[in-house]
Amino acid sequence: MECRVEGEKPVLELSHVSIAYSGTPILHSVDLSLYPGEIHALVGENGAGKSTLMKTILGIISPDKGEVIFFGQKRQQQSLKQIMDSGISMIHQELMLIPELSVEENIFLGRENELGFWPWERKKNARLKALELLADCDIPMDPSALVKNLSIAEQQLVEILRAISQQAKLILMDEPTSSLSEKEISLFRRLINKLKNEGVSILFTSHKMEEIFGFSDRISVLRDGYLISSKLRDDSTEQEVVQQMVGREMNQFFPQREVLRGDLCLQVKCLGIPNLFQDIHFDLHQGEILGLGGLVGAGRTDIGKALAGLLIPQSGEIIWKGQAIKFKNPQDAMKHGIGYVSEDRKEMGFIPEFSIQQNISLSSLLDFQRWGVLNQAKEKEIAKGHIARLKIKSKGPEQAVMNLSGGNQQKVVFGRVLQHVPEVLILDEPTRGIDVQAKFEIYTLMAELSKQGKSIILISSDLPELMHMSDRILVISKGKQTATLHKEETSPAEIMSYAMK
Amino acid sequence: MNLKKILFGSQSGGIFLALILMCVLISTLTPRFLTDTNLLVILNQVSVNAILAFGVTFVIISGGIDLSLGSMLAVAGVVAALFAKSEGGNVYLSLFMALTVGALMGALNGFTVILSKVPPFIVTLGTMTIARGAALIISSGRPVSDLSESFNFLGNGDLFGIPIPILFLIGTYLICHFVLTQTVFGRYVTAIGGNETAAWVAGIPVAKVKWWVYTISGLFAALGGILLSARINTGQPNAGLGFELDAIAAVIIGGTSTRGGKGSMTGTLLGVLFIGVINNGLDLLNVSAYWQQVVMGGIIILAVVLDSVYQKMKR
Repeated sequence: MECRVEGEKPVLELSHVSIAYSGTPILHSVDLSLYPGEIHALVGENGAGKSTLMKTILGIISPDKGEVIFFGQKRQQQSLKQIMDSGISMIHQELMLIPELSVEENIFLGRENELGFWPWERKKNARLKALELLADCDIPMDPSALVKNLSIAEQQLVEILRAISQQAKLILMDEPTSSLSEKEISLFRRLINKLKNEGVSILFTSHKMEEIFGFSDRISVLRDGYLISSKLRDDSTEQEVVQQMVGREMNQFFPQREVLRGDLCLQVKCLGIPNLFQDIHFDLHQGEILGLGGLVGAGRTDIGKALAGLLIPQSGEIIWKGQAIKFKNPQDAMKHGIGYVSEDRKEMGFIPEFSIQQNISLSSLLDFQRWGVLNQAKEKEIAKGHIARLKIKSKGPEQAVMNLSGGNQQKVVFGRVLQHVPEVLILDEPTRGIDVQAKFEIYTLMAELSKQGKSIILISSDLPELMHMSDRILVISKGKQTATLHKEETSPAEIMSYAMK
Repeated sequence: MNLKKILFGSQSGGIFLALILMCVLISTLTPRFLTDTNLLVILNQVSVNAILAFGVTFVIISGGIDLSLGSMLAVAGVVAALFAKSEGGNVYLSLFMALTVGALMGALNGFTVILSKVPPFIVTLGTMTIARGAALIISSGRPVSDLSESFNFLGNGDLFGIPIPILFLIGTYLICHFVLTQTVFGRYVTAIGGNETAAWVAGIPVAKVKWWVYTISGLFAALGGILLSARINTGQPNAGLGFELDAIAAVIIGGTSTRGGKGSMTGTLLGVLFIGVINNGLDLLNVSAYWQQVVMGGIIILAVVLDSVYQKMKR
């Protein structure tokens, strides 16, 4: 695996890089080297300084102290155009594509002049080059497809293709696999290995251990702005890395929980929406955690949306405590005691400008009013309770949610959903893109909720999470239910085999 | 709230500062500016624009826009005048009819925006023309005059020495400020402007709230129409041309985001006063009416630019 020749010069060198935002130190004298063809994992909890470090390397931020040397040249703050030409590309967690343009147009966005002078010439060359690139990387995709019609995973691939076409020597990736399913991850792995063989270096962040250890040559751990270690993968262990990230022993990734199966509360029969999913049927008991497994795009998210009133089923029925019910909108579902946490936190989870307390009370504002007038003191009091219970790291209940880290934003969403006291929770990728500590806290919360008799439907692409947290796992493939597996009797391989059926 | 908090703690700090500076500038140029009577004149002059602006602030915070304000004002003004004739008129009926017509027109705007999913800019651009036509049809294209004394009192009378329109300005400001900051409705409006999808997923009755927002805008336009008709003793079918732009300008100068989700009634009030003070100052300085428009436009752009710079500096 180790392909580095002794004495080879690093592509990128950071020495004593320190950065502070308005007095708050974010990075403390970080030293880091990246070699040609090296795949380097940057790990750390949210707020550890990973994003800032990446932005510094990219050249969006210039360090207060220390320097970033790329190919022997000192890197400074520069314009986006300069960055694009400099040989470093970044793939952001929030995708930066233009939805109304096609795959090829997105790949060559901002560099159309390289494709020729006349519009038709550019069009022809874009198509040719895109096809070449797709074939080269062995990705089955139509270059004329509009990006808005692609899945998030496919969009991610387009971003990577764009970086490749820019002939980047170093690609920075912020949680590249957080929205990919197992199958797409293997495609991603192929792509990464191809880049590696061409001598391109990759620095990526991830919260998933399998990827950190599966992909990388070297693992660097960042904690509270300090570089704790930078070791070859073969010299590190998972336990060690997690320990370095959180700064203390962590014996278990998942909390222990006893299964208390109560009365039947929700029955789903032959549920379907044309082109999304068909014939879904299952029972849900109080205190049960039912996992929905499968590949991204298999229809799991749509099933969750139909149960939460975001989509209206065309066939089948939902029976709630013996009564058939139909939801016209999320409000209806909520009245029946269904809580929903979307996979798309930013789009569907919270109001960014609102404070923590305003977000938490949003779904149950009618409990905070009299004659339509809000009781903001009560609102604050309740929010404080959630902040303590969910361990939301913040300056207080009045801080705007947009200024929180991903994990803490997710906890605020949980706070809002729990505040309207649901009996069934539908959690779609509840721990995507959040740090280990917050993940563990959310798992603990789920265990606690199920102990109180709440039922949970967990949609997850993270197999260990799905297997550890669920009592039963419903596997969905291409909109159809392919298996119902019991926790004790199944294996990741079995789940995957049904998911790809 | 102390001065420091107003200046630096709130969204409206920048415009507050600009307003003060403008007042200082004008009062150094002419001694006629800073007098009791002149200040009352300014408040009286801005009252109609203020009322329109308060109503449309809800619309803009919810992420929408209402271009039909001026036309709805004209319809309501004509309707009010028709029911307030000096012979056989009844002020209460006149008020009731005008406000009802305004609310109905607003409700129709809301209804169309929600059901058609056509951007509110387009919908209200259409209803702007429709309502203007309606005002001309109702009045047969002629001003409606000979209005009763008690109706005229609404526009020209005073209570305890304060002109009635100013009392309406203060009253509507207090109500709107309270509704926006202290009620469930105000919170819903802001949430929808902040992230409509998330608001819907969180269980907010988005369509209903939007519908109310446009209805309120129509209601306030009607109130403005009543006061204007009362002031000029006539129901003018051509009244209020371009008023929507003044109102929207005031809202934006007041720091309300055109993308929605953020804004305040205090900001809108300051924006209205800012425009009013400039108009008044240019009048006092004998600037020609043609040049006033040029100066006004320039100052509006400048104010918004300075405010965005100021907001960045604060961070």
